Amino acid sequence: MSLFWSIYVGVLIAGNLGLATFLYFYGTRVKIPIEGDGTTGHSWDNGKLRESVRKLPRWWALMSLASLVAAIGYLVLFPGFGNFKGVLGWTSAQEVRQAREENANKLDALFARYRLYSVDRLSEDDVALQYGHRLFQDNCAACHGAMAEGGYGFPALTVNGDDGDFVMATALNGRNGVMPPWGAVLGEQGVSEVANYVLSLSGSPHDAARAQAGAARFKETCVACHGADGKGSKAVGAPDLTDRSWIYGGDLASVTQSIRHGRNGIMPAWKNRLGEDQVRMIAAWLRHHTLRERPPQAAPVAAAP
Amino acid sequence: MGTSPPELHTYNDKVVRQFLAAAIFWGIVGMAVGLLAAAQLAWPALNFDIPWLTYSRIRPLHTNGVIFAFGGSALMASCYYVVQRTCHARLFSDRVASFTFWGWQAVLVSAVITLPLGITQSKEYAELEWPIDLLIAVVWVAFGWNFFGTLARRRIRHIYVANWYFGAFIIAVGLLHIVNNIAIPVSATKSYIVYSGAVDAMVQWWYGHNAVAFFLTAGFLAMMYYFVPRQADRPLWSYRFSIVNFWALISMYMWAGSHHLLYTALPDWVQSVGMIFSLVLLMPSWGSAANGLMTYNGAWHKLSTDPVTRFMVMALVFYAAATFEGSMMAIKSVNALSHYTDWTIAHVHSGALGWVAMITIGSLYSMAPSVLGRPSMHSVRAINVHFWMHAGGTIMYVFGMWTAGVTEGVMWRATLPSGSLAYSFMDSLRAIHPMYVIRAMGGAMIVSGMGVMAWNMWRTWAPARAYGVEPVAIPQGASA
Repeated sequence: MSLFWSIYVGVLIAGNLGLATFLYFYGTRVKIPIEGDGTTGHSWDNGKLRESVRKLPRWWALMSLASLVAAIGYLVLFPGFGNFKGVLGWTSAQEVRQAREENANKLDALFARYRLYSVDRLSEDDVALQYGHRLFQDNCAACHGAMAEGGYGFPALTVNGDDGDFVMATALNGRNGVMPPWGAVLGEQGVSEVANYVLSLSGSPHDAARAQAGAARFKETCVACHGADGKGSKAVGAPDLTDRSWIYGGDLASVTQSIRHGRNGIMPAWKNRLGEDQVRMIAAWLRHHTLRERPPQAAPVAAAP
Repeated sequence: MGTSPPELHTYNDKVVRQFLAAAIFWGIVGMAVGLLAAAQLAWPALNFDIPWLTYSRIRPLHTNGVIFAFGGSALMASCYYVVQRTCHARLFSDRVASFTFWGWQAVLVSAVITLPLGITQSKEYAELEWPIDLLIAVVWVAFGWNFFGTLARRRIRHIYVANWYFGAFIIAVGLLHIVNNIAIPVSATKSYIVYSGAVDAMVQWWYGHNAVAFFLTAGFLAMMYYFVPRQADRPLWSYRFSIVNFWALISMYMWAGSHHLLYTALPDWVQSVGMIFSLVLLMPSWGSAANGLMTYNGAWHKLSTDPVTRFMVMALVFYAAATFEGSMMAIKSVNALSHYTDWTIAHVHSGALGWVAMITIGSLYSMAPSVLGRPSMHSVRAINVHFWMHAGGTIMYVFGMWTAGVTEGVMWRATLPSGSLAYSFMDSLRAIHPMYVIRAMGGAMIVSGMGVMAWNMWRTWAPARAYGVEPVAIPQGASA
């Protein structure tokens, strides 16, 4: 602030505080002529509205004086009066910096210790689990759901959540999960048949006749990624279709949608936002949570010949 | 007086009746929309996936509906009523009065159409786009012209304190509205505000806080200064207090806006100045509350018999409570806990439902019989029912949101010995959900109470609808 504006601000502040102080002393002491009934003698609304002139209550006087003294005292101690910085030399920026440094020191100590641990080991550590869970809720749950159950178009994380290295790689660097759309290739009937066949692989409810019809089409179009047995390949990013854990939902409608329109999941990279130390905490909680929540594995039903 | 036209011998209460009916109508609309917004916060599915019912569009509709539609109509009704009776003069111009009524209603209808369509400037309490802003400015100037014109031809020399506040309210709101809404239009429904960055934020909260100061405080204090002594049937407690409070209030409120932006990119000195003037504002705030309450000295027995007195006394108690709370929340270290939490919502509504709505409702009940040519309201018992519904709903609302706000503030700042945060944002939402339900229940009580008022007013109005109203004659004997 230039000297001009500093003076401008100072004059206005002093002027207004001065006016308040003046009102406080003058307003409480000035003689106001009164009539015999204690009113000013002014009357309005056909004489029905009048006003008395009374002394102001002591509690009010003390409270007002205290607030004026507090205000002036604050301007002496803290920045406020134009360019005057206040005798304490306080700034909000410095207060924030200091608080962040103190907290960062605590966290650094925690991270240094945990860097020595694998995700598997951390998933049994209560402090890491609390921290990871809190981070998950604040950063991941908006898309993936409060319990990592996924949402419409967003993967359930309980499928691969037990694999710490996989989760770390995905969260730090992002991932582009692509399943091509097959609706144009297979046609509506083909999509329906393949969907039922896919459901049959895990023994999920399906239409047996359609599943049977879909088996051949599955071998033509899907095996390249998901394998002849439908067990998929993590390296390719193709999920196992024979277990009962589903990334995008395991009901007929969801599987049909996946086949017809494909999937194009884009997970952003969180390396710069959260950093490796915090992502490790999230991975630890996710592993802990996945192992606890994982549905009991059903034995795959043999595909109809 | 023999040569003047005959209507000069009576008050113009037609425009008062129009605004009175509008205030009740908009009060129900605005509060019902608020109830929907409160219910959506407790049960988000209540937006039914309909774009114009989403919270983001309903919320500004609620704030505009209760502040400018309900509050604004009530302020204009009481202003026109009070200025005539404290000046012993008819309104300066009946035509301008009529224009202000229809103009203001046009503004409000435009708001009801544009806000749900998502047409907004995205400035809190100044959402309406530039064509509506222009109409507001024109109506406001007409309102001011009519008010000061009436004042100029008053037949009582001394200007009553209520008119000081009405005058300050009209001048300051006009100034705030125009400065805050300076924008460059790019189409009929979109404009860009000329300010940017921290300056924009500061201008917005200079406006925002003074909308509270001059619209929701000065305007309603004017109402209080007239209707409280009339209802108590006692002289106003102290003229000395009126002088100190008025000048302290109107000079210092202008500084206080920056307390909405503590711990932001605003320079430290601006934040400090906003804080200290907010503290000193206790002086006129509690001064006015005391001036109103102590007017009841000698008439406290009315509390047990007159429900309108209950509304007014409760309003003043809430005014004292909310202004004390506001000064405390402006202290930086308190604000560090309260900011961005529902404590702010509790504070606003203890002001809005406790102070503004109760003094308004009390004043409307006090004013309605005399502009409708009736000795009293149709049902005093219904006023009492309304009082308990409104007071009960307000207490549920305010205590619910206080609890929610402090819970949020404490949870958000809690850290563990490891240095990490103790709770996620989601944890705090789960913790306060019951409070959101209680708030919605309180809101339902308040809206229902407004329904009772509408029924009572409808019945009181019946003879006027059937036979018309005899205009009230202006007292001819000039007073001091």
